[in-house]
Amino acid sequence: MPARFLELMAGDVELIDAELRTLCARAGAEAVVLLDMSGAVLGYHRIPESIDVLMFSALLASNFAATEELSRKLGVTDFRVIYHEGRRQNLYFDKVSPETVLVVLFKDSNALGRVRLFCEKSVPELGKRIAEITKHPEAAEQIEQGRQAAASIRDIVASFRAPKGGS
Amino acid sequence: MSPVEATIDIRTADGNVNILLEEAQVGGIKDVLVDLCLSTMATFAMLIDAAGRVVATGGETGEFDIEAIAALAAGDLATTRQLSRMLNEPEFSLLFQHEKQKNLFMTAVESDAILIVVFDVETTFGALRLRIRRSISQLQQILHQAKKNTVVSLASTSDATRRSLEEKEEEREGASAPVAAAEAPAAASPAGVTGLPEPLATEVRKAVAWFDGFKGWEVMFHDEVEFMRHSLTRNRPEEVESVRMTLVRTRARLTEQKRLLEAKFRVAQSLYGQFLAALEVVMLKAWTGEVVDRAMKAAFAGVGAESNLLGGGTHKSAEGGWVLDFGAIGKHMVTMCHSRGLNYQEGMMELMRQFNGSLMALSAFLVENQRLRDELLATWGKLYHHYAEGLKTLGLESETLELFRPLMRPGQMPKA
Repeated sequence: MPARFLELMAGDVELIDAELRTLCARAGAEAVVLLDMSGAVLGYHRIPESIDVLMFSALLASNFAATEELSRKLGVTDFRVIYHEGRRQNLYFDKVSPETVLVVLFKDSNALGRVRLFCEKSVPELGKRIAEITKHPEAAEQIEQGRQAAASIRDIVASFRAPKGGS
Repeated sequence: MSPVEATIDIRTADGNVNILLEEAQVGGIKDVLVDLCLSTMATFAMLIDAAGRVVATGGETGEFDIEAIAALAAGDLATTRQLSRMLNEPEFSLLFQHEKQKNLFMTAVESDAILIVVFDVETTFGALRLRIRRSISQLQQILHQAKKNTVVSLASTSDATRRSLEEKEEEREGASAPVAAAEAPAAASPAGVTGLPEPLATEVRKAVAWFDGFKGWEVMFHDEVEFMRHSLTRNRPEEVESVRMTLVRTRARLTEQKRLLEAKFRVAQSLYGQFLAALEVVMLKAWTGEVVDRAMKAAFAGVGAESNLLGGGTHKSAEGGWVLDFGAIGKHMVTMCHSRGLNYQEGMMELMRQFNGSLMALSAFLVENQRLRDELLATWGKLYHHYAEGLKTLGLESETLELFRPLMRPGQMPKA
């Protein structure tokens, strides 16, 4: 599927944030991030301040993409889950839709089964939201309006500049 | 010296240098990989270097593009390393799972070599993880030896390269104690981890601390041993070896007991985590249907109209669940504060008081409902037995079960 950008409206962000907060609480996670395949953050909850979210999510996305390619080489057709096990913290990746991945950071004292259980509950919910977002009829219209407004502002600015440049 | 068969890139201060692996060493690595595949029923295993080049493989690699997999895996582990650095983790191992098709497990053996195991449904991940520790330590030994040989053969190369290699070796030597500890990853954890009920955690910590602080070690393995060795050597030299062996065996047995205790702690902790998660699912399941609707109304909307902060902010959503609208509740609180001349902190306290009261009313309502209570208790009983069985296997049965007694209603404690 060709890569495309997801256009989130304010309401979408709130709904995604609410779902991520719920997941974080239920799964006892340290942090959760929802990102698209290009590494853009769609939503996150409780990421420590010491971590640069944008850099973190770019690394997560590239890691997921490399592992997905690896799985293809092994003949896996519907790749979904990665688990990184560290000494103190673990990462759990779950593919929400063809364009988005959910990543959960959790401590060693938490059970993987618990994280997995609640991810399996949240992923369909988030998937539904993402599907709705990609179908937003008003989103395309509003974006087009935004582009037109930006173009007309540029024209106005240019028309102010033109006489000055000429004089 | 045997001919050089393979090389591994190692990172040094002045660029990359190859570790030279002799034919016998590559053979040794292959043996370890084949052993691993046979004992865990894995499809294949391979050792690659950080640059993505294959050092050795074991198992059935026929249908796979090994070179491509190695290159991708090396790239993958490089990003994983960056992630672990960001999270202040020493190292991540990676697993991707697909229940029906292939699974992959990947871990760094040394900083320069990566072990990849591909397996399918015939292999259980638990068994693989257990067995892989031994393989990793065998591979580490071989690579360590190869590195030493390389340092010697590089004697004629530039001083800077040799120095950096030697420094790397020293670092590794210094880290060899933690490597041994990594064989039992629980070793450092019992004092720090949480997740068990505090009394049980305290008990286990006490036991582990006893092993750690066991003075007998010093008596048995230092002065006393020296004294015994001297006197034995002088008087009965033929018994020196047998006494030494007895002491070594005793030490091994005690170490084993300590490891077992630490492993038990981990299992109990995981069991408790699973228990809590399962309980949460039971509660979620129970919170549906008409009974809950009535309970919610009774609990949240039944408080006196004028001072009720929660009633206006509690409503049933279109999907059927109950929603607390904290925006509306907050507005009520502010209005109340202005009308009564309270500050917001006092308003917040009043809100919390009402919230607690409503939750108590709700739980009382649910407990009084016969069907819901029976359903909850039946599932609770099953979970409880599962947990009790797990603890019994670990020998932690009696004292731990008592910890859960306060959670049960009087007379409702399931019979074992």
